[in-house]
Amino acid sequence: MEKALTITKVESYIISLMGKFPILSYYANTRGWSFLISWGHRLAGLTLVGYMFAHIYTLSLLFTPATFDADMKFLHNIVFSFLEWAVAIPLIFHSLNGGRLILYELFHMREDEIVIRWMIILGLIYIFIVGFFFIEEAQQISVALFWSITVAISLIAFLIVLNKVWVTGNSILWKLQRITGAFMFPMLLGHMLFMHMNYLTGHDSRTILERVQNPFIKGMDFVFIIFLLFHAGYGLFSIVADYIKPGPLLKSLTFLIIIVIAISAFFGIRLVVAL
Amino acid sequence: MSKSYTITLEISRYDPDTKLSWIQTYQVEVGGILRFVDVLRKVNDEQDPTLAWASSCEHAQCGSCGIIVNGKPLLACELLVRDAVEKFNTQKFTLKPLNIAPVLRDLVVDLEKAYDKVHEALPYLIKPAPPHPDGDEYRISPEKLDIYVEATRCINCFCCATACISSHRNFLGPNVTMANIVRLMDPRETAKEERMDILYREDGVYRCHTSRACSFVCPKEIDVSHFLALGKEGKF
Repeated sequence: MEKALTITKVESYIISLMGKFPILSYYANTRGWSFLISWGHRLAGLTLVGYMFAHIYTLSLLFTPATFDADMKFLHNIVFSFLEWAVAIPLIFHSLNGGRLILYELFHMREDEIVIRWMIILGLIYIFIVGFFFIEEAQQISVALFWSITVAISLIAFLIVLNKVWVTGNSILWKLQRITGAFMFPMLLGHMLFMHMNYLTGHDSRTILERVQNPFIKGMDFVFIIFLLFHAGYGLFSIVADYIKPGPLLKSLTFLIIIVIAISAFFGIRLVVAL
Repeated sequence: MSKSYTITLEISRYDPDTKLSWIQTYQVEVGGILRFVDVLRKVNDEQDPTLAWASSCEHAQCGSCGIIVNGKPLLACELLVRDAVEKFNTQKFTLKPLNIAPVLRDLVVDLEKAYDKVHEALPYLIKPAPPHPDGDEYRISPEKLDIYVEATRCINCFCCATACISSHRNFLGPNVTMANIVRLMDPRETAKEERMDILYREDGVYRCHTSRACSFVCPKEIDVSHFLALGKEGKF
């Protein structure tokens, strides 16, 4: 079973700081820290779903490049840059915790406290790197090289989890949630890094439109948007199903989620295909 | 002599005749080594004989005295006053019934309804393997038993189900799922297919989100989430 873990002074200090928040200490004392992390996973997921809808909207402005550039220029200030950087926090948390769940549930990794420790360390490093990119706005990298490496890592993660989860008898949607999560783990983290390598990569209509003409990028974006929307939709359903008993209300909410995701898929795919 | 405490209990009351719910406060002078079942009995004896609560063995074996104390589901027969004061860092305690079944009265829930789910997991050997030809008993090697013996300690107190983030609306619940898994691991069980159907049914193991609250609150210190994860991993 689980190995005992010696808590470091830094970790003990972080725990004592978090304990000062009554809501956190209440659940930490009555349900445990893993329970709080699960709640964090949900909240981070919901934040990311909201961001995804906003993101599809802002990208749809690319159909009129002048409007897109004007909006991006308007948003290019310290407040919006800070908010955009802040998205990296739920993103890395949700991704790493998703990885932790896959390790626990499918790869028998029971040293959960050690995995959580690594989650914190890697999460902080990632947030720092993204912050650095935001400030510098001057990184240069080959688009083909960056995305080839990221897609290769994503495919490896995808195949490893697919191979492990497919033979189990779990619900097919649950399996797809794990598989799409594994694929998007490197993709999403790469996406955030890449878009902020420098100002032009994520905010200049000409640079973006030129990039998305590439069939490799188009194909990748197509798969990405499908996986992302499925993952978001099933995540929303999972939360709803925890609170609503089987019956007409649950069916109605499930239908609503499907409709919202289908509409988002329409706009998302239109962006990939038509731009 | 153990130290005495003046503790305040804020107890959720419910009267099924009037359908009224309210919080009632009691102040009790108690010794530190009294258990919460003793404290509730003291309230009955000295202050309010109408307060209803449940218990049976009072040795953490039957699971009938499960309640929520200051947000944590636990067995009232296991919790000493001094430990509660130290653990929750207060002498004021809110006592609520478990949320896994309708409340019958005050702290008493309808355990029969809660057990309906346990019965869905068929908590017995459906088709036991025949005894070994050399003897009159089916022998299990200690190595095999070690893998799942921890899970056999479950008393179905429903503390895990109360704490679970997945709740119990669309999930069989941690204890029920484990009741099935422990029999899947039992070499005497031959009805594996039937058990697999229970494991992976719509409200089966995959509805668990691995929040691990079950392991955290389990009064028998069973790592429930470990056993549930074995099911998701496809170990059987």
